[in-house]
Amino acid sequence: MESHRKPYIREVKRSWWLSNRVYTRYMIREGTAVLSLLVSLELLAICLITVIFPDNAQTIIVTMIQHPAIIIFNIIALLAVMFHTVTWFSLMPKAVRVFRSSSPKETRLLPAHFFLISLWLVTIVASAIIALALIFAV
Amino acid sequence: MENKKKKFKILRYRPETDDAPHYETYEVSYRHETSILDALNEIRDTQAPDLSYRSSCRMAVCGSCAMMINGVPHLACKTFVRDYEKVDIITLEPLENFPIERDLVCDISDMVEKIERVKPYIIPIDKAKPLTEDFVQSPRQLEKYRQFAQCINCGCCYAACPQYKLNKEFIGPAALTLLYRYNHDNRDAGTPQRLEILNQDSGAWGCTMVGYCSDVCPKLVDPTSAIQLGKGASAFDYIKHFFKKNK
Repeated sequence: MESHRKPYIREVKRSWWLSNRVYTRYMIREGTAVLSLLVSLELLAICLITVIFPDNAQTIIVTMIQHPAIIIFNIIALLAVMFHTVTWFSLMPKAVRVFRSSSPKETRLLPAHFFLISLWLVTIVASAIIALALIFAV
Repeated sequence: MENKKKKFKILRYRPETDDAPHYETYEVSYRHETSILDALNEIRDTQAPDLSYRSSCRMAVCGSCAMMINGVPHLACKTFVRDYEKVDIITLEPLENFPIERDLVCDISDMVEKIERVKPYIIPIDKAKPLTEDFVQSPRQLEKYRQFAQCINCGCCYAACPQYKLNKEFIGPAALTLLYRYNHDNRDAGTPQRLEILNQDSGAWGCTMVGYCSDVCPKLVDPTSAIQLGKGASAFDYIKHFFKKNK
């Protein structure tokens, strides 16, 4: 019997990530890494300025970070990191599988919202400590 | 009795005559209980006798009828026409990321090979133990993996996974889920063999946690969870070997 088998492989378009909202959201989440990299470079530039121009470093840094372009960039970067945090935290409970107690008869797992609330509490407390430390340091 | 009509746009591909797939449109009557699979049976019986698709159990157990329904992987038997009241046309395509064999039938042999690779069976701790003796498992020990044992190998997770779309070397969600399921069975001793697969770039580390595999899983297996837990096991194994080497 003659075979007409000819499997057809569909082409993957460059725009595949625009075909579904989940993929688009994922690509934006991954894309926020670029903004994090740019913020790191900004911080590195600030450190280098203090080393290269020790006498008038503060003036240069204040002028730089008060520039409208830098302010807009930092706001966008902050929003991007917030988006990353929200999407990442929503997936984090999947990486943990813990029983509610150590009793051998316990078969119930800790619910996802337990980890989600814990992560947000840690984030809020850590952010508050950093903010207070910066305020008092200034 | 309610009797509405719905249009279906189906991707057709007949290798004996077609060079590439093309869409054909059909219209069928449906009731509240009509599943997508029922509609396909109706189309085949009355309008397109040469339409090919897979199905068997009609109750979300065999996983044969997985296909793209309006761009989302679903089981045709578990999806109802009534859920698409708001759209004019329901588009049916074979599962994404697999070669199309004919019409809605795709070639899932790559997934099957990958599932076989993770040894999805119990490798006994004591091979000499007679099968007539009990292998005790407590409800807690069962709960450790029960959710991940619900996989029916339908392929929906592979169709949803962008990593598998871009890199066919990636072993994929279902294989990694079954790997976790057997590694956490207290009757099994195959963990060292499966860790070799898990630790590879094409293993758990090939996943970038998109999470869509869990969204589309018709059996609520949550492959994303199994893969992330697998990454934890793989990292622990790496640290264990690092300290062993440096002793």
